[in-house]
Amino acid sequence: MEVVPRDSGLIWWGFPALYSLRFLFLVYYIRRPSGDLLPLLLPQPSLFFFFFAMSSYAEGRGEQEIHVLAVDDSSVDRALIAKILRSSNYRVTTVDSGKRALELLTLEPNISMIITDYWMPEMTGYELLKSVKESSKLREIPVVVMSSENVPNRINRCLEEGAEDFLLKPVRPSDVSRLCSRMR
Amino acid sequence: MLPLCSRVLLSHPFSPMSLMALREQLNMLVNSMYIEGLLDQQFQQLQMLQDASSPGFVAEVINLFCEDAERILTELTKLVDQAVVDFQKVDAYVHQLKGSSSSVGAQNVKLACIQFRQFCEENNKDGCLNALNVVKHHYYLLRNKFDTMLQLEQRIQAYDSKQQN
Repeated sequence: MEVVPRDSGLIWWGFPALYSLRFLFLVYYIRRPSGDLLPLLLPQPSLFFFFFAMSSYAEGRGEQEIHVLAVDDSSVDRALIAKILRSSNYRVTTVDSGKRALELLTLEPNISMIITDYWMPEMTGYELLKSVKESSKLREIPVVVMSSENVPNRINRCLEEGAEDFLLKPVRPSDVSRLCSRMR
Repeated sequence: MLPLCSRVLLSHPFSPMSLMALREQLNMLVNSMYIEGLLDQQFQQLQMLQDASSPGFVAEVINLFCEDAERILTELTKLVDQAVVDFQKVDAYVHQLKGSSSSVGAQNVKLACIQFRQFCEENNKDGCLNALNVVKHHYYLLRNKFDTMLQLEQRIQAYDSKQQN
């Protein structure tokens, strides 16, 4: 393609076949003292966009793995919640009691979220929630409480104590997907 | 020229017709369980969660459920048999069983547990004895069908892995 600029200035120049790919180059022509026009290749906005997109993609990939702690005394429910979370590519650790959960939290620094059953022998999910929110080290970790019973008082108490959300069992993938924005 | 189906049968090391028959049997079994109320929508959720990365997921959950249920039923039998029944303890166990049956999609068992809890609340020993029998009835019916289901699945998966080799 012959583009013959008359004078200095900016022109868009591109191969016809590549127009559809938006490979349009910004070229600046300057007039040399000798009289002829010299094209200067400028930094290309299209390339800026390309690099920006690539770096966002790379950043996303470099993100730290999200590690969720699931607490439930029922083996069936542990298997279910673990599968749902792993299907969303989260790393999951399951424990069967609040006591084990607290033990693990002292050892594992990077838990992004705790999902706990409400009704558990020895330590309920509410008591676990309270322990987490009262600990200066752990209080930033979002806690979600699950229960098979829809008891408004219970739900309110948990939310007041700082629970991020309350899920009714049986838990479904759609319930969990709405939690992903709340992960630490 | 042989008709196409016989050519396929003769050339295939493991007859695809019986694999189809197995799949057909499994589908009919599972559908009948939904229709008869043994299973509800939650079981469908489990089936949807099973994928190539975890082909044994449904079987795993079924096995966990059965272990859990049988442990609880044994405890309940002992507790309800006592002269003075500790209804709170009984209720706690029934609550557990209700929870796991709900998570697996075992609808009839779950409903029987809900009724059972009613009798616990009323401190009704006869009601509890009756309700326990109803729960057991529904559970063992379900377990039989689960056993058949898992056997069929195993046979189907054996075919699939042989075909791949």
